[in-house]
Amino acid sequence: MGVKIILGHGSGGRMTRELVRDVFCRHLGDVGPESLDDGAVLDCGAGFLACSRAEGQTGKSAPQLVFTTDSYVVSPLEFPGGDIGTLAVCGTVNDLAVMGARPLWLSLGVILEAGLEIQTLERIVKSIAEKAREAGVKIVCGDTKVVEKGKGDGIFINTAGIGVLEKPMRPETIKPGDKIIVSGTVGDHGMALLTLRKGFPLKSNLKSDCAPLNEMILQVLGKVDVKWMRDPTRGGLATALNELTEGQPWGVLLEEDGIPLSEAVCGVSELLGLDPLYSANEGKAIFVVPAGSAENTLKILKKTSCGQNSAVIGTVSGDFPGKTVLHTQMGTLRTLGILASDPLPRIC
Amino acid sequence: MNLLNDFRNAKLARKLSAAIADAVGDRTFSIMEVCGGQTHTIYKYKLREMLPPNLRLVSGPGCPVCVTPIEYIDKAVFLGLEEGASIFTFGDLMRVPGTTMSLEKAVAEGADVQPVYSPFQSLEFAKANPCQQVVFLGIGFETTLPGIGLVILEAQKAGVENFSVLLSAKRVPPVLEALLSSGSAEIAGFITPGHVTSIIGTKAYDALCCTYNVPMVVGGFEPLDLLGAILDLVRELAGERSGNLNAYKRAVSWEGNVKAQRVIDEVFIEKDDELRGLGMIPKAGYGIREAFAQFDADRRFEIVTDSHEPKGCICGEILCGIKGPSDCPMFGKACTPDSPVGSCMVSAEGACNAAFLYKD
Repeated sequence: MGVKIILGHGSGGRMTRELVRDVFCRHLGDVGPESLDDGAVLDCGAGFLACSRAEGQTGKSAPQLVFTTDSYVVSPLEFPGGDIGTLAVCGTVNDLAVMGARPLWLSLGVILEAGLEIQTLERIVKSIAEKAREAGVKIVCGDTKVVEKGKGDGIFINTAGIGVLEKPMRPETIKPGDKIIVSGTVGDHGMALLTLRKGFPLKSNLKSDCAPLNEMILQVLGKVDVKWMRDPTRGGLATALNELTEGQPWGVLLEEDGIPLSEAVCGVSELLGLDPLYSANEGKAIFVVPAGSAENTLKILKKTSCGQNSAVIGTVSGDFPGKTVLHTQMGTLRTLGILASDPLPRIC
Repeated sequence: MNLLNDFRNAKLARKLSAAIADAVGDRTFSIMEVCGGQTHTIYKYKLREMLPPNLRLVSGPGCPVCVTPIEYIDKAVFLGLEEGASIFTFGDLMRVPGTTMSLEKAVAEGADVQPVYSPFQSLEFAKANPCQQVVFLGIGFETTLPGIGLVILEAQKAGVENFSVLLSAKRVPPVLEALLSSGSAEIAGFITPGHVTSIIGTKAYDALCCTYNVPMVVGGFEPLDLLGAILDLVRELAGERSGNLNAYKRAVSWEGNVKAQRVIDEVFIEKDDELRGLGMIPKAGYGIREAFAQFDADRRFEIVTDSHEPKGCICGEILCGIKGPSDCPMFGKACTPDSPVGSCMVSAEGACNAAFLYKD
């Protein structure tokens, strides 16, 4: 019996990364992506210059484009704080924004399962329109397919996005002393969805944090020399920081007491034995900024609607090369590893 | 009082840590935290760093997923794939490797396996789908057993014919007795499991403390709960006493949860049982009583398995406290949470999983 895909391959943790490396990257080889960032920076300089010369324009530098794509398969389709449509816009917009780009255009591909209520679809498309307006992006092309009942989960969405690079990230300039900032409470989206799964025994007031972050991020980029950003979706804050620190001569030291968590997320994660630092976010960004800019970054973030609970949560440190380490409430130090697979709620 | 943060107070923890070091002095003790949830807290908060090096903490067998025999997984896979039953399970069990595959892999082969939070979800499904055989995987120690018992009672009351439980339920006191009587792990005292003891009461350990002259203290799951229990335990050891103490009074009493005990007695019957790695232990398990035989998946189906343990796995010795995760040559190499060989690497309560997840 050959090895088969299991759900854990889609968790965004180590299994997903190994699948991408061992199957996709291996076979794509020279035509594959150069990095496994959220988006690709496309240098269209040559073509652009040829065009502008032909039109008699000179002295104008070519813009760099950022291109990304993401697929959305969420259950339930609608949840407090959003739906699969909100996610499909915000997720792709945020992937562009954290690359330092101004998101402009989105494609919209939907795979519908026979039997989906048109009314449900309409609500989802309305959400897409609302979030696209909020983010200032246009849906410029799309595709619709329908599969037999039982062959899809109501609706699957893929959005690809294109943005113009405003300020390239420079992770190579990160050095010990730089500060780590998160734009608000962590783990909200993942925990909210978990509590909505069929049969979850508790009612909670958890809400997804799903939101487009491009406005907030552009405000920061305008005034602060941001070195690196990431929206910590699947795998959460800990996985995103592990991806940052892996193989680097420095690491990250997080202060557990400083990490913003809502009371509801705290309670639910304790109850299920799950760690909110590994739980998905859909409306949060992590920033690495020079120590001297941390205060100013916080000031700017706190003035935005998405960044009111932002906080400095840690420091880049030379003491833990390649690692993400948590200074726990108890005063001890614990290494935060990469999530292997989807976390499973425990027995007792 | 905040039940989370107040039990993680660093200042109080330092005080407890100093008192523990003081009580231990220059003696050497090995103590066992029985429950996997406690093991997890110890690793997660690096509590070993707060304890003197001559106080050795040994992880115990109190991880339901870890002690479930491999044959059980094979049976569940058989029911899902060969009998076409809908399988409902607590999440931890999904990734435990069976002889040929785990339940997670059985899903990729076409089995219907659904993780649930409560056994009642499986009964609801059975009621709504009367033509489909539904099997709940009832594993665990005394903590989960009352819930499983209630579902069986409800299934009988409602006359649900397509519902059964594949039971592998274990009892903590006989397992501790087996560890004590074998003497192989040389444990001087036990931190008994908080959740289990909330059901069975500390009275369940009275006889063990007397017979084996060993102190026991019930511990909770927050850092201060555990440090407090460790302090009580080392004070007993330092004073050469063998008290049966309670450091988790907000959840545990001497008599335990009498209602829950009644449900257990009504539906289940004690039996000699096999624990993975520990072998056959007298009275260590529960079976389903004759009056509820129709809800016993083992009786309902003719289950065929050909089970054998993975080669080279030392989960058994780890569960007995004889060896630690790092003593296993496969730890972190051939055996990781992504592709576990032994059960201790799977469950969040498994010692190997905690050691891997929180390694430096």
